[in-house]
Amino acid sequence: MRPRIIAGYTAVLLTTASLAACGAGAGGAGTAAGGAKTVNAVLENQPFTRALTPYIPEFEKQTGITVNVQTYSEQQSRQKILVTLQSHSPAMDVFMSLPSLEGKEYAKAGYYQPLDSYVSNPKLTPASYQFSGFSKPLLDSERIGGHLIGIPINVEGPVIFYRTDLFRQYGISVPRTLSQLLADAKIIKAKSGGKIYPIAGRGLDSALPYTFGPFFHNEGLQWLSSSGQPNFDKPGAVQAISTYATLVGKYGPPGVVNNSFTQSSALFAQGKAAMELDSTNEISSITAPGSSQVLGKIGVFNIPAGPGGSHPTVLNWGLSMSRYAAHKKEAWEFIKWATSPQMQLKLALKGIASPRIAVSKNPKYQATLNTPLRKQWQQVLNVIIATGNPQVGPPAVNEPEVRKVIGDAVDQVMLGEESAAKAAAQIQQGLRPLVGTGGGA
Amino acid sequence: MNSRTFRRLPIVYLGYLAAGILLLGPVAFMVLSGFHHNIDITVSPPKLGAPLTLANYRTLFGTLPFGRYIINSFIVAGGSTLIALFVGIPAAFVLAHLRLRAAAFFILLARMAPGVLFVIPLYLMSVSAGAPGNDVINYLFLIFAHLIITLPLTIWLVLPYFEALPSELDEAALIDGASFTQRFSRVALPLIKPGISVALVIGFIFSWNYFLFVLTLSNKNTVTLPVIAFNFIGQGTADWGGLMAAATMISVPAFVLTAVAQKFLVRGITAGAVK
Amino acid sequence: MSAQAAVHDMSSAQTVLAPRAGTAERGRAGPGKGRWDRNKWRRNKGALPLLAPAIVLTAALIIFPIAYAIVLSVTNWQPSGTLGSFAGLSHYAHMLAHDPLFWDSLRITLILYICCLVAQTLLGLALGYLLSLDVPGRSIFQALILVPSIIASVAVGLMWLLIYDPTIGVADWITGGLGLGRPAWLGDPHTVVWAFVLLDTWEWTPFMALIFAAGIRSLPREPLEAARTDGAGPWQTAWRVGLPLLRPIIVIAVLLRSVDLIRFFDTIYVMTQGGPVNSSTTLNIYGYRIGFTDLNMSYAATLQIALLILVIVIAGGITWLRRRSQVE
Repeated sequence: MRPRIIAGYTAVLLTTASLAACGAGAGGAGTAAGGAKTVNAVLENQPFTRALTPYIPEFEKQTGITVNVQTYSEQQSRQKILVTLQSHSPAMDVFMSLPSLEGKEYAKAGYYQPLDSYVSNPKLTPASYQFSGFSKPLLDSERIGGHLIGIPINVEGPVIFYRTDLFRQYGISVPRTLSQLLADAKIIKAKSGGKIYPIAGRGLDSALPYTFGPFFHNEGLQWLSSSGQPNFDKPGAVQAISTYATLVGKYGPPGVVNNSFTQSSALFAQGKAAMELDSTNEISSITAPGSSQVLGKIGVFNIPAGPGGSHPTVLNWGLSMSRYAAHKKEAWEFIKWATSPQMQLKLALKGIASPRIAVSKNPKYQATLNTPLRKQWQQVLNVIIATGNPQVGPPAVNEPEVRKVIGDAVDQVMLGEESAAKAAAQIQQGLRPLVGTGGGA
Repeated sequence: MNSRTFRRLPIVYLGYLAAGILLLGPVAFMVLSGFHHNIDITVSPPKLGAPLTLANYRTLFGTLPFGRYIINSFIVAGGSTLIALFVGIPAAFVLAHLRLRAAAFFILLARMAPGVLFVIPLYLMSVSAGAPGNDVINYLFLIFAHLIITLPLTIWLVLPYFEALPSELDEAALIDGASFTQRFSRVALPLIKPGISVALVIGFIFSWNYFLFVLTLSNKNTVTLPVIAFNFIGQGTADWGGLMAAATMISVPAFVLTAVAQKFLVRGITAGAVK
Repeated sequence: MSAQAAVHDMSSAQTVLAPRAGTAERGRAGPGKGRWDRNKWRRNKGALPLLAPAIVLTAALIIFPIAYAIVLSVTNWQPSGTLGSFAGLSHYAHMLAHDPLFWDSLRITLILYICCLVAQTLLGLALGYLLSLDVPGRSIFQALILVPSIIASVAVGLMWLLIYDPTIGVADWITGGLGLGRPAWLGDPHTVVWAFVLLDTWEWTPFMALIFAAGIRSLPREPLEAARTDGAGPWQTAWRVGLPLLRPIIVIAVLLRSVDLIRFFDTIYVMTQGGPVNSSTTLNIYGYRIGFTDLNMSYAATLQIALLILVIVIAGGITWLRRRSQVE
């Protein structure tokens, strides 16, 4: 019966459309892309974002700009940002970017809107913004291909958190060298009868290079030689791999090759690990009142020096503007606000490590460092900010693949499937086509 | 229930118990953990008797517009399931009746391609349709995109039921002078209620849980529940309690609908068609 | 009229509807080879409008994406947005001849597929039978038992990440208690695939059971009763009479599950991202990584097309088997 069919379809379509319209009507402030005086941001779910979000209504009142923020976990936000940029869509204005990971690739693809002209224009950026107040290595990491592609919003680096009570109990002190670190781990394993894991570190291949870097550099090696070739054919490389694999693999929890900060922090907070090798950001994980069994018993130190000295790694996230943004002026206002000295201080008071040097020296901020842990934490951060190497991994356009090459090889050593020497050779071979002429500047 | 089944009742309930423990054990863990503090969740052996707390749920509803997400999920999953039923069931009848194997396979093709393949093309399509800026278009596009999941599923779930219908009924109706549509709606449709029920439930659940398209296609106002689950585990935070609470909340509406759908909705769909 | 009797009834050859058993009839060549048969459509006026929306919608949804992927796979797409130079079949050649990870991921995909399918079908049948019995509490139990399939795979993945944790998770506590040792589950390349088989079976057996239960409940009673009165025991009845009658439903369930299993992605994405050292990288995960992490969209499209072809081949094989079982 024809009319019944038509009636049926019409009913369904009307229902669906009205459901949709209902949803839109009941929705928030108007439509998402909005007219002028709107900014659309896609941010990654990390402490910075969580600290910033409550202040956004202030910004909206101050400037009259409506802010539409979407926050997702790292994998998700990366995918959403990528798809939007690839499609040259104007739907996104501001996004969070990790220059050490995707910087070269995105810059090469032309996704970033260079910010040099915005920063240097006194009409857009008053002197009170104190652009020079950012730590120089961090700004350098945001300069790719000669352009400023983002503004740093935080600073972090790999460090080692430790259990002050266990160290006392086992009679060990904070290690000053890598070999001492290994020795300490050995003692912990023996004396705890296997009940406490000496150290919880990163084994997941894509996450590993971040914490592995300092071990490599502390053997006196840069990622690349002066001719742009990987340095994994030098003797120090084998030593670095062996040290890391032993430390994180042998003295770590079972199944560590699948672990990243999630598992490491959970283990440490549960009191099952004597040390945790991970980012300074993890302090909020391991000191969260509802999650931590070890409050008040935590200390932190920089990764100890090796034969080649002490060369920490420093990493920062940044806020960048999309080249295809529909609201560039508003986007700059937002970025400027989130990274201004005033905002950065407010965020620092909430525990976010600021890329602005003045903030860490601010007395109000100093006052929040009211536990031994927090004081130590700021100290190790200062070391990282001052001397940190912003090259988290060997620089290349296809940086994710670079990380995987390194991570997979070290994993295989940890799993006992190959020797450190073989791993080093494997990395050397794997990196060659990716860095240098393939990657590079 | 005949006497044979009655005698086997103890064994059946034993089976229920075994299946229940295996399948619902982790689920119970998930639901219970939503009411525990994080400290009590990341332990082995599981601390089942740990003190209960509503903190996770308070945070959940306090910091996230959870109600909004639930509504969005309903709109998208509900819309695409409804359309899939209304479009797919008649189509399945034709496919079964006329034995159009190639066409049926073609429809299944939508289900065969990896979801990743669709992400960018769909996004391009949605941008040119004006979806990012307009919520109504956004919802409609999300529903449209989710048809990739629900339509082939509905058709192929219902297909064997149509095929199993004896031809005599249809022939009889034909002799009685029924039109094609009448043979479908009056004769065939009432007989495949279990099939419709299955298609409805499964289509809805699959669409409800799918996050890949929603991540890229939605804007701030139209984003649905599953995408939120990722946010609980990240750098500087491992909010297992929050995650478990969120996972429970994500599952509850789907569960309720499943329980309800089987009874009422199927009856409603076939009510008008029964002689 | 029982289904079986209908199957044997050939006497209605004169009417427009051929019995399901494919008999050659009035110019229609057996099981339709897809040839456009005008007669079919003229005889069944009113069929086209019922079918057309589904076809049109499907076409609208898949034609552009598949064409887009094909174009990408034969060009050298650049992240800046240009399609780059024409690459012909060089990406496909590279994939087949120079990419060991392609073959590895293919192998992992197939192992995962077969193990999961077998486990889920067998367990699903058992559970489905249980669900089909008319006992008090059946519908509540059925709704409850579906929950693993209802929970979003994101949540399932994250939840089982905790369960599988070798230190703070429950799985090792259970296996250790049962004397089965304490495997590293996701952290060991040798056990990670099995960890996923277990997880996926837990998650999807209820789905299969639901389909089977509905199918069992709509089986015609007569053949089963007849077999019982003939003296066959319950197992024999189920095996000899029930299963063959259920075959169409089983094939559909297998088909639908297969199409999803070969594209195994969600839980791996959430739990191991394909590790450790690629030991849980399925073809879908590999394609995703190449595209969204390495930004090599052309090669990613190549891999996705390869995956699509794989699914088509396997699904095609199953539907072909379905056709054959109908003809019998």
